Amino acid sequence: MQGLAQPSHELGCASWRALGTTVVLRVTDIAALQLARACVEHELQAVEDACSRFRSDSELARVNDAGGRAVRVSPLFAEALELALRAAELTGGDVDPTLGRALELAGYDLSFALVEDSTRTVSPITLRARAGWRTVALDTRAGTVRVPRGIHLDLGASAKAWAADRAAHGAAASAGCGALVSIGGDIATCGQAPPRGWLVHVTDDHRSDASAPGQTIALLCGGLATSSTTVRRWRRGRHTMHHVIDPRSGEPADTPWRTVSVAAASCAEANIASTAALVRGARANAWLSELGLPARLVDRAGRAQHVGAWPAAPAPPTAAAELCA
Amino acid sequence: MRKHTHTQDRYTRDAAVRRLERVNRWLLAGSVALTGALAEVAAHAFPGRTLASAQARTTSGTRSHRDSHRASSARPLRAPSQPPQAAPQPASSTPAQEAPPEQESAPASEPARGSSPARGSSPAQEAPPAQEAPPEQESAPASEPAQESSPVISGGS
Repeated sequence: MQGLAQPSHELGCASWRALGTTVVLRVTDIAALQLARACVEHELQAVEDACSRFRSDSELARVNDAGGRAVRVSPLFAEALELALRAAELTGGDVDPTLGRALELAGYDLSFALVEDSTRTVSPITLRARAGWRTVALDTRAGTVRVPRGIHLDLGASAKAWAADRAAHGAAASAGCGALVSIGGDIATCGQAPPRGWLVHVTDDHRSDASAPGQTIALLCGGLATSSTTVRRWRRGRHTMHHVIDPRSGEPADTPWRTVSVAAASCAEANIASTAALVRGARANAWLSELGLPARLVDRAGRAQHVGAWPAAPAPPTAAAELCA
Repeated sequence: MRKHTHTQDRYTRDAAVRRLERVNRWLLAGSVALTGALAEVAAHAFPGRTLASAQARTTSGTRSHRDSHRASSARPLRAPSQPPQAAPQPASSTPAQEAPPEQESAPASEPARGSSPARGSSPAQEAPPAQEAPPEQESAPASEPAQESSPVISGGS
């Protein structure tokens, strides 16, 4: 047995910026961290090239600018759009990939760092951009997509979570150990988790630290996504906007929840559910319960409600317990 | 006189035959068109199925709404095979790394929009949204082990 490399069982961690947000990578074998990171970076670059709404050379931009004509797309883009259309269907249209125009009308027409710029000249608006995910024609055999003139796709809601799933699978496969990938707080895991699970603190903003109000849980498998109306907020005239659009009104969703976290078999599925829950409002907890998805919903007053198998808030720490995974 | 009547009968018969021919032609054309229309309706109402896996189906062929409905019916949102667990507690945790325990909500604290509480849920009071922190900077050197006690943050983005 000599000469065989033994896993170090020491967690490796890396964090960097990609897809306009923060990426966190953790692996259960620190020796494999570089290999895993290279794989994750490659996956995320491919997704950005295909799905970025803010790059004029992305495939998404070509589709949106085609004026109703069919556009040939890569299998990667087709897969991302396939997922987005599936999300729309599974949620009855609450998560809709054709809200790009509504986001632009709401003022989210630049990368968020620029949207936040308060010096930008803005004017009062009236938002009336209706969704139309059923009008999207995806021909996976021919590899073409056609969206009607005036409809702009935005895959942001689902593409980042899907990218996290792809990256986690790629990292685990290439590194040969357990991997966790977080993209803007949407978390995918693959492979063997640490003995006591991946520690995750759910809160309003993924840029917070573990001292922020929330709950720390141990994720054993699958994905976890959190959607919140407390982040990516900006002013448009006298209106405060956020990025979760209600497809029925074309305006930022008026929801009783400020933050929803959902655990699912994959990060993409968790993201679909958490985004839809914000849009569904008061009907969300019953819907999540029916689906059997563990979830945590925090209302505007800050009251957290747990759905399904979501763990209870922890008891005060005991001396015998150990935190390290 | 009789010959004239005979000729008139023949004309009448020929005219009737021509009318019948026209009617037959229209009936034939109509039935063909109706058959096509019914076939189209049936094709949409009862689409064929493939032996390929759902994954393969999504990557081959045009997606129709009914196709997608069938696909989603076959594969709804799935729960994780193991639900999240309560985090193990540290033997001696520092306040900075520990989330403040949630407090039971006061009965008088109403949700902002009359929303319904979850079934079987355990309400807990949470502080207002934290101030936004600046974006994280480039990570520490990759060879550095992760601080196992520092959880990954899942929040809105």
